[in-house]
Order: sequence, then C-alpha cells, then structure tokens
Amino acid sequence: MDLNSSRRGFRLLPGRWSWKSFVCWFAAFLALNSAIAAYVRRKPLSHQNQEISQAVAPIRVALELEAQEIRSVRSEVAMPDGDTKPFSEITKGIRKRMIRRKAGLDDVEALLGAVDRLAVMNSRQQQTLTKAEASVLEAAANLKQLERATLKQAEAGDSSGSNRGAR
Amino acid sequence: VGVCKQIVAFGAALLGLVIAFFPRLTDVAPFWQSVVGAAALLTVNLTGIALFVLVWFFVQARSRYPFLYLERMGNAMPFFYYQTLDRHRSYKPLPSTKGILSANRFFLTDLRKFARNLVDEDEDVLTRARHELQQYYLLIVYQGYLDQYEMQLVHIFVYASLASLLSILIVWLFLWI
Repeated sequence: MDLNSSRRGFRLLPGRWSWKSFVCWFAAFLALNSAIAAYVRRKPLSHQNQEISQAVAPIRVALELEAQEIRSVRSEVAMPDGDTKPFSEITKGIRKRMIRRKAGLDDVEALLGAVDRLAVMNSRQQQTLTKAEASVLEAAANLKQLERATLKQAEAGDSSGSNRGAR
Repeated sequence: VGVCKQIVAFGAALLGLVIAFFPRLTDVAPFWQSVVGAAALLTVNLTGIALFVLVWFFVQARSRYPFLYLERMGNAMPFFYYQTLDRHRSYKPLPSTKGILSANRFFLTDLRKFARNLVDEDEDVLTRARHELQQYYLLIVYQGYLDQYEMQLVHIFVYASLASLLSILIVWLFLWI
C-alpha cells in the first residue's frame, strides 16, 4: 500500500485490524454473556409473579366464558319479537333486569382487574389473592342465579304473549 | 479516556434505573423483557470495558519509560528532570518550614549544576552536537510510546465493544427469544 492509497478511505482503528484479537475478545464476551443469560433463565427474578399469574389464569377463563354467556343471553332477550303490549312490557322488565346484570358484569370485570393487579404483587399477598378469588367465584355464582331467574321470567312472558295471540 | 469516564458514569446510572424499575418490567411482554435484558447486558459490558480501559490507562501512566534507566544516553542531564533535578527532593504538597528550606537548597544546587553543564556544552561544539542528537532521538522515542499507548486504549475499546455487541446479539437470538 503506497502513501496515497493509505490516505484515502476510512480506518476504524489507528493500527491494522486483527481478526485474531477480535476472535479472542468475542470468545471471552460470548462465554460471559452466555453464562449470565443462562443464569437469568434458570433463576428468573419474576418467578413468583409468573406462578400467581398461572394460578389466576383458569379463574379468568371461567369468568370470561361466563360473561360471554351472559352477553349472548342479553342479545337474545333484547331482540324485538313481540307486537303485543303485555309482551313488550315484559321485555322492558327484562331489559331493566339486564341493565342490573350489566352492572354486575362490570363488578366482575373490576374484580378481574383487581386480580390482575394482585398477580404482580409478591407472595406475601397470596392470602389476599385467595380471598379475592373466592369473592370473584361467589360473584360469578350470583350472576348465574340471576341469569336463570331472568330466563325463567322471559320464558313465562313468552308463553303469556303467545296465549294472548291465540285468543 | 474521557469517553470511558462518561460511559462508566452513565452505565452506573442506567443500571440503577433498571434496578429501580425492575418490578414494573415484569408486566411487560416476554419479547420486550428480553430486549430490556439484552440492553442491560450491553450496559454492563460497556461499563466493564470502559472500566478496564481506565485501569489500563492508569497502568500506562504509572509505567516508567525504559530508556530512563540509561543514565547517560537515555536520561541525560539537560533533557529529563529525573537526571537534572536531585532525586532526594521532597514533593509534599504541604511542606513544613524545614521542607521549604531543603527544597530551596536543592533548587539552587540543581540550578548551579544545570548552568555549569550548559556553559561546558557551549565551549565544546562536539558535546553540544551529541546532546542535540540525543535530544531529537529521545523525543521521537517518547512520542512513539505516547502514540502506542493511546492506540492500545483505542484497540481495546473498539475490539471489545464490537465483540460484546455481536455476542449479545447471538445470545439474544439463541437463548432469549
């Protein structure tokens, strides 16, 4: 390389590039970083939170199914199907009940959010989480009862409406 | 060296931030957790490299140039203070009265020696020419040491940083994702 050509172009280092040095440094850092990464994978610092999240996951799935079921029932009930006055009154009553049910659903969603927040806390709050879980399950059972009662009332209203139509 | 000082300072600050905000990081998706982990690893690596460069710089500053051990050719009287000034001088930052008197005595004695050497050199042209040649050569050697020391620091930083970056990329791709 003559003087002119050495003046042109960019040189990363003031001296010559040495692949041997680079490979030595690379091997050292690869060993160090692999060891650190393996250690972090073996002992994750967020281990407890993951356990709690896994425990909460089935509750969340069950409640989401419940909520979906309630929504489907609500959409069925809200369909404009009756022309007669008594049936529309019954439908209004059912709608009122469904509004109340929606408030219950909101409560369930709020509880779900609370459970999510609890999931990121440490293991000392495991007992609190258990209590929250019980209350969420209780709320879900209450909602189910309410749903059954509403369905029964809807069926009763439907039969009286069809009887009036027959007359 | 200045860049390394800043990397050490910012690296320590960034690690502090990661430790402080770690509980919130557990809510993040696993992919972004791995990205944050790789960034933290890069910070640790760069901070370590910068610290190593600084330590190596201190070692270089502590080293004594080998030619200074040659008292007549490499450390001649008019060029380096090791030979020009008396080695029994005290360099205490807060000298006592006795220390001030002693230092001034050394000052006057060394001045007399220095002046006599210059006068002798002026009388003999060949001696003066020899001293001038020694001085030119010593300056070249001294500059060579300075440049090579600086190159060592640059080489360590560039090789280590690139190697660290590449290794983190490999670790992230094959171990964390």
